[in-house]
Amino acid sequence: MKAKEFFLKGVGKIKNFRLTRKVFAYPYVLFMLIFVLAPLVILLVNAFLDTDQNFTFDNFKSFFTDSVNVRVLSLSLAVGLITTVLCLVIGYPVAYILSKWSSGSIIVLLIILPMWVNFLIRTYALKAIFALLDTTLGVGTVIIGMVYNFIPYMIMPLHTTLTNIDPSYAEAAKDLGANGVQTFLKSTLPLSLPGIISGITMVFIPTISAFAISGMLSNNTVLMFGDSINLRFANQLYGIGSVMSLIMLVFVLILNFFMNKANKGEAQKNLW
Amino acid sequence: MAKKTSKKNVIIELKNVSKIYDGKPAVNNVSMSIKRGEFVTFLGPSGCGKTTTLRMIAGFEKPTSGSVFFNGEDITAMPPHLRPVNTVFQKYALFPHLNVFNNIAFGLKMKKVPSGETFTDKTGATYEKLRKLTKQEIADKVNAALKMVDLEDYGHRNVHNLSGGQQQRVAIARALVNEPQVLLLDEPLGALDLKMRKDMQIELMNMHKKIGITFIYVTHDQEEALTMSDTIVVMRNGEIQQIASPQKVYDEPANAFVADFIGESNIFSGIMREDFKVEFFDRVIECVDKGFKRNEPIDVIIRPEDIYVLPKDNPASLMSAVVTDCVFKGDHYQIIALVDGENELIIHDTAEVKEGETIGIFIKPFDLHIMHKARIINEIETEMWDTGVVEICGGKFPCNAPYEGGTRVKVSIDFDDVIVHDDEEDGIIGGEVVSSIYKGSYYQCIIRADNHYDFFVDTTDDWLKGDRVGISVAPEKLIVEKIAEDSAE
Repeated sequence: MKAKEFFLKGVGKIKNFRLTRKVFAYPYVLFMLIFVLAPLVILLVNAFLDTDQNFTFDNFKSFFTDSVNVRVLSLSLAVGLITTVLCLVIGYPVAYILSKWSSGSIIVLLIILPMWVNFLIRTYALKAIFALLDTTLGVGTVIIGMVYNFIPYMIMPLHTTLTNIDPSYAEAAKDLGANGVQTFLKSTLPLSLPGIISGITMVFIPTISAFAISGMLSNNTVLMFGDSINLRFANQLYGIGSVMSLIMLVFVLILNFFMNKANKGEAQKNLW
Repeated sequence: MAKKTSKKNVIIELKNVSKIYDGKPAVNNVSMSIKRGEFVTFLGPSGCGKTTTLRMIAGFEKPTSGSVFFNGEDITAMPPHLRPVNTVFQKYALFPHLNVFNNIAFGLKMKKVPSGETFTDKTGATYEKLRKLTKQEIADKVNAALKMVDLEDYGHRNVHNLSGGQQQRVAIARALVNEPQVLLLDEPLGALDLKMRKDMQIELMNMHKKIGITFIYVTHDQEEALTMSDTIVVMRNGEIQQIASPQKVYDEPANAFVADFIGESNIFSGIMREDFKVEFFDRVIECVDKGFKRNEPIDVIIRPEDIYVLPKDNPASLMSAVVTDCVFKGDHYQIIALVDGENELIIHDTAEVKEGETIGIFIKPFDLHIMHKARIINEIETEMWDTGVVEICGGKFPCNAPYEGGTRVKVSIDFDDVIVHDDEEDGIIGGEVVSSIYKGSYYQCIIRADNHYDFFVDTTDDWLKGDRVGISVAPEKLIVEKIAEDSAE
């Protein structure tokens, strides 16, 4: 009896099925559940399990007590910070000048073009150039490699934001007595803030989590946080690897929170 | 002496100013002087160069040639931030990252004023030291400006939370707080609804009276211009058509374009038979104009309210007409009447007439405005492409001229011999319709060919401004004359 009711209910559901717009989102929701949410849950569970699958806080304890881990984390953050600042300092003038040119978007395309080549190949090429120049590989070369890899992600959002700023704002500033420098500082720069914020987000987060680049460009002498996580999982230390991944996630969330706050929620609109 | 005092009163002077974009003149050889304290309006259809002229005064555009003077000083090369003028932009351009208070304070924060102290440099020259305005001074000025535009409690508000009218007021306050000698307004009321616009018109006029500085106002709305200005500068195709008071622009338009653009009017082609006698509709009528050439083709302009409706057998009537339409317009009837069955008259009268009724028409000689025609025939100097083919504006027109290719010739084409094609491909050359004026029984269009030659065309169709059309001419209608070799050189 019960089974029959259940069966009828199921048939009713199928009969009532209608192809609404909502339905088209189901594959994506399914994808997210399997490939994003599930791994996160597994990470969370793993972080609290020891090698014998028992509940423990040891993974956290061992991470924070090992000074090497903390050093790697701070080095990653420092490299990320320096890379982001360098990208901004180099990328902003480029984006600004290109936004003034009518053929600017073609040049922006040229800047993105190398991105179509796999980053490993590009990094090997860079390594070859360093070898040719007899440069000692170390933190310096890693930062150069990071800037080289991530600067397009800074230029793109900046260029989009800068080209979309109505020129009448700059005119209004000049009209009100601002000279060239004041016009830039008081109108163009604050108006391009959404671009700066998306640029920073898109450079800083991939940089701190990047792996392979640092190893290749420093002959494995510089270990970034991403490499470190990679190493743990490669050595089947799932517990501590999960803890590190979670710590990274927390950093990303904190950064995103502050960026959104600084931008009053305008970042989404101007991501590219 | 008299000249000197009048010169002193001039605050802005443009001398032969032209601005050329990509070979196309946006402003063409414009000269004018604007008096201190005047409310001047640049009026014209879109693309007439009025905004470009304003931007050259503000300093955002550099004239291709000519000079701009401010208080007698040449400021052509001066950057905008040093000019003692401020602008209210069309879309206000309020800084979205600043609140209302800081938007208005923007200019004040950069302003430097004499501090009263002096200082002497190495060469012994004495300067007065400059200082920035204090916070208190800025706050006082901003609050006074907010009060002036009735937004006292809005200082802390975000600009994008304001209505269009409020943003407009902030933009005006932001410009006026810097105490400019000239306020430039670029179609500032364009984005407001009708009611708001009327209110702002009156407010702007009051502000102008109260502050007493010069206002230069750009608009395409003729009513706005007539209501607000002391002086109207009517522009078309980058050229000034007329500079005069609103009354004068309305009552005595300088040409058919001005008459057509400002208010409603009847424009007819006529011939000046002799002084005080004009012929149109095949009738010779008395007028007050003289000094025209005998039998010179002219335009006659009559305002609809200057035409009087009489009973048809009244001896004073100049002609009779048949009413085809009579519409009540609130404070008058708009009557459309046909004279001789072909010439249309628009009449504004307070009395109703019946459709089909025959009426008598009377016009005071004083109300007939006679104007020189801009052109009576299209004349182009060009050369023959081949025997029987003449080149006009880059197109090859078949004609009946016997001259060889390369001969310099003058081609004349009557207005009504130019054939306009709806499809550009059907004509020999293409062009853009720049104006179309109804002349009672036909339309006079101006079609600009791609090399900027303007063809005057009389047609029975009303061609839409801005449309691309084709032009052709029947071979027998092309009047080709050879230009003597020596005069060509």
